[in-house]
Amino acid sequence: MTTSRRTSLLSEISEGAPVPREKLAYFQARLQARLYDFVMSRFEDVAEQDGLTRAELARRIGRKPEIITRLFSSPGNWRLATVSDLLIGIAGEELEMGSASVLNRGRRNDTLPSWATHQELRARPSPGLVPPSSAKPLPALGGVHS
Amino acid sequence: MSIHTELNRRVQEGRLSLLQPALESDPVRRHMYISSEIRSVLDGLDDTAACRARAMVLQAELERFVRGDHVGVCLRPYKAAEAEFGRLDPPHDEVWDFRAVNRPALRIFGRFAERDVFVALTCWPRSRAISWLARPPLADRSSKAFRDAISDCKAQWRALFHTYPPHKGEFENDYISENIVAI
Repeated sequence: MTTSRRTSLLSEISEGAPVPREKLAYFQARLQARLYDFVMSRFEDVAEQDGLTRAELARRIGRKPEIITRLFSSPGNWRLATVSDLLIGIAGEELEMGSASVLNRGRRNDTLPSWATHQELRARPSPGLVPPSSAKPLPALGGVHS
Repeated sequence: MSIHTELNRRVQEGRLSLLQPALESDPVRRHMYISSEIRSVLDGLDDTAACRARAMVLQAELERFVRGDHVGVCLRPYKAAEAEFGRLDPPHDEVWDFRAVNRPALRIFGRFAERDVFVALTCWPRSRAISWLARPPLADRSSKAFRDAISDCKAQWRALFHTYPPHKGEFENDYISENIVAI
């Protein structure tokens, strides 16, 4: 299969066509992940500069320390209110608004590990983006379960 | 011979592949090798919208590691069930699970081949059966399914790498070099 990853993921977006649910879901999860990464970066910065601790953050926003630990564990359960509370508590900040097209971005440079020799990777379709008819069933479980 | 040689061979054999971010502009700062099983899940195991949506969300969840984003890491079994990366019991087995917590929640079992290089081997439903995933839900950590998942991960590692042991470490940054949220 030679369809490029960009064509596969962004085709409907670039054409103004209805975007399939799975692609909308991908961008939703991506936003969640980016917000988490941003907030964790801010916490790291402020912790390094000003000595902010998770306990102090918890005190500032009226949560128990174990709740902060749970929120820091993963972005899975984050809501917009979570982002707001954490940013206010960490640095008295709020998000600046902005957006950018997902189209026409540059390509990353070499993505393979330094030891990799397998050039065929460059032609692989992106996971999740192959046509449904190409999807293969899971391999047998190898007798692990009785 | 090194683990690098083995990784290259498994890729050439089609038994492993490298997870690439779906957006070509995204950076690659860590590496995740995925088994054919994980590849199948990411490709969408059936044609239903729900299955394909979960596959794409899983792609987004796993890409966070590859992009070098902050990730929650817990080295102590049973202590932080929601940390994205958790080392399982017993720690010396070096079996890890990646907690993909979006619904339906999934667990990806694997091992580190070296720092910043994770090999994702199997995918299990977390707490309820999923029609398109041919594995039982794990339920709690003392369940038979959870023990089976750990055994299965070790067996699959041996099948791929024979005598090469998984990467071992004492601290979080023995496994991931930066952007760690220690839980």
